[in-house]
Amino acid sequence: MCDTCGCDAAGVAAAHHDHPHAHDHPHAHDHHHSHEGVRRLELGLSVLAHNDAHAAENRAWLAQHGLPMVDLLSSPGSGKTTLLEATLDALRDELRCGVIVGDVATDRDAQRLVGRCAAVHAIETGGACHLDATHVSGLLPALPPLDLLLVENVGNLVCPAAFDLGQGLRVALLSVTEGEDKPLKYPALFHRAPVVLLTKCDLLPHLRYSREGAVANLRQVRPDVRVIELSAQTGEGMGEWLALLRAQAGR
Amino acid sequence: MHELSLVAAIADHALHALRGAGATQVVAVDLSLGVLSCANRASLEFCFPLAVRGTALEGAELRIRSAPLVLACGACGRQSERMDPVLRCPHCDDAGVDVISGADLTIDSLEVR
Repeated sequence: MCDTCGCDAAGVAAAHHDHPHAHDHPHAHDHHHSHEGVRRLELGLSVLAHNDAHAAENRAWLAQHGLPMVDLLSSPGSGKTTLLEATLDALRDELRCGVIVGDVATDRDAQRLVGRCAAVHAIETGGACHLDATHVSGLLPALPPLDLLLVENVGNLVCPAAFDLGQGLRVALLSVTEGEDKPLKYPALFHRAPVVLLTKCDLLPHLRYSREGAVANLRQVRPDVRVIELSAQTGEGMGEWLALLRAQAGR
Repeated sequence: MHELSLVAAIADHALHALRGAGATQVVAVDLSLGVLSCANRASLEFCFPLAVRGTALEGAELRIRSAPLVLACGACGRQSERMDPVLRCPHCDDAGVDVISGADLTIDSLEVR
């Protein structure tokens, strides 16, 4: 279990500070009927309402500044950083790009991207398995003028999907070495990604892999998904991906 | 696993509601766990007692209801519920469905005193 995951939500700390000293209220008159005085409060409240509120603020800030934000999600090792290297190199003379890189520990991924674009910010989550909206809101005002903001989320197919960052577009990467069935095993994430990149397609000659199977599984959880097959190593398929990003940036 | 974050948020919401209601103790928490939410029931149950220790939620019962995926079909117009994460109308098999609910983790209600 990710034991530091709760530290960012102010929840654990607040929970321990906010307790209303129940021991000071013995309610002696209730002791003979333990269920006496119990009443129900109807809430109907999303657990992530707090994060969603911050995400909405981010979305408003981004809209106000005309800055599109794309959140990249995938398992570790699916090729997010390699894709970003190739993407930033290709767009260097066209778009002012910024990148926010989330990792549990180290800024190694961010270091690979420094010098390739206008701004790179590393967020070391210190154990947390995802970025949340407050990680992003703290950085937005510090950004230089940009045309496109890319987020490399923490490599994880479960948790990042739950936390809206305020992005305009979510893109999931699924490397061909991961097989075809990941969309069915992690439906919540792939459901939330209208664009999926099948990465490392240069390795296909070496794999037993069904492209049709992978796409069919993606469509089970997201019928209107747009699938782009590419290889950041050979450049195959990169044109379609870059065109999508240019369109995000209004070019 | 982000369930500790989630139960911490649950505790936050519950303590806020508790204060608003002028009560002192949470006896039970009722959650709906959607088919397409990103949380695991066993992990929530494991984390909950840890996150609420020393608070007005300590000892509260956590009751988790599995909430189905509720879909509205654009082709046949019918609404349906399913417990698997398949975005397809079970009546006409069309994929043109809208998710009405089932993607969230929701605090339905609290029992307090």
